[in-house]
Amino acid sequence: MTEYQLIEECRGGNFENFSKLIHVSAPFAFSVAFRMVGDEDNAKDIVQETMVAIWQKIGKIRSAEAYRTWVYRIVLNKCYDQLRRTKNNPEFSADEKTWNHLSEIVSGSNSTPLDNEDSARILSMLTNRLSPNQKAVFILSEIEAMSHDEIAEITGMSKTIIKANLYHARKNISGMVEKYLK
Amino acid sequence: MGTESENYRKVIKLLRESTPELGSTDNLEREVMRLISERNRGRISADSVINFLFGWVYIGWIRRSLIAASVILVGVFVWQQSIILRQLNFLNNRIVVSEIENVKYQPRINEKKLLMMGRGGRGFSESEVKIPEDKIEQLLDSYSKLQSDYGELVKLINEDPELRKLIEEKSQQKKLSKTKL
Repeated sequence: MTEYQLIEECRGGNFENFSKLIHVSAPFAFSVAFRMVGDEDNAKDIVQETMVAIWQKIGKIRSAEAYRTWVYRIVLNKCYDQLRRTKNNPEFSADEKTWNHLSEIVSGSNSTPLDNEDSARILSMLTNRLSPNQKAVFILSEIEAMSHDEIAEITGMSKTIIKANLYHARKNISGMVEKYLK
Repeated sequence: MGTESENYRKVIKLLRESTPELGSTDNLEREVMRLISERNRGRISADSVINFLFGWVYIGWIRRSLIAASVILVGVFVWQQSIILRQLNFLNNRIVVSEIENVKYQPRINEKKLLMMGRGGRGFSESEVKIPEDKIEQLLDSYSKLQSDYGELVKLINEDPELRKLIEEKSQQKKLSKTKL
């Protein structure tokens, strides 16, 4: 059964194959959630809540084509909530060890993909100074490789605002990379 | 954006290729299903409580009985209101009637006085009176007329000092002539 068929079945009120839809949707939802909040457990919680929200409201989506956009939007809103909750936590400090590690990887001596922990550490270090909107646009555009149209649909921002946020994010991160990467 | 350095591009490429690993989705699925069933249970129990408390209103005969009872109650209310209104109107009319009766029965008090006076203050019972009813009525009417005329005359005299003076002089003369006699 394809993803489209699964969504159509659930939209029609048949939740027999909902567990299959969880298996299909969870990885891409987790990817965005994890990159946004930088913590595996929190990201898993967000995915769980997203899946429950999907189960409750899937009948209301316009079409099966709009499913992914809709899921991304739910995930992103939950990430914003999570970021707001952890706003008062002490700032993440860019330590020398992480930069050295990143330098080693970038220099080509170690080309294997990062594990979750390293990935979260590096992303948090790079996006720490960004606003939630800038962070969301940066992750969706640069890391998840989405088009501006898709981002506009997910975040509800205009393309101009997306471009502005992306410009600031790139400038900020690029500056950090130039400054700290050896 | 062409201003990014080679290092920036490498970092982004690395992060893009390092897709986060969710691990087994079975645990996640189990947890999601547990949450869903919990919420379902919560919803079902809330529904059953509401149904237990108010579900009986959907039973046909109770529904019809409630409608009939409400119609009866409205009818009783309207009937009660109309009775109250009628009573109020009746009482209103009674007030006017009792005033008229008071005026009408005033001569009867005077009648007693008259009878008392006629017997030199001795008084006698109503059974001793042998005068026809219409005659007594006529007498009382003329007596009340006389009383009112007298009142008006006194009022007139009091309002006009000259007339009063003249009458006082006349009465003085009358007294003097009586004493001379």
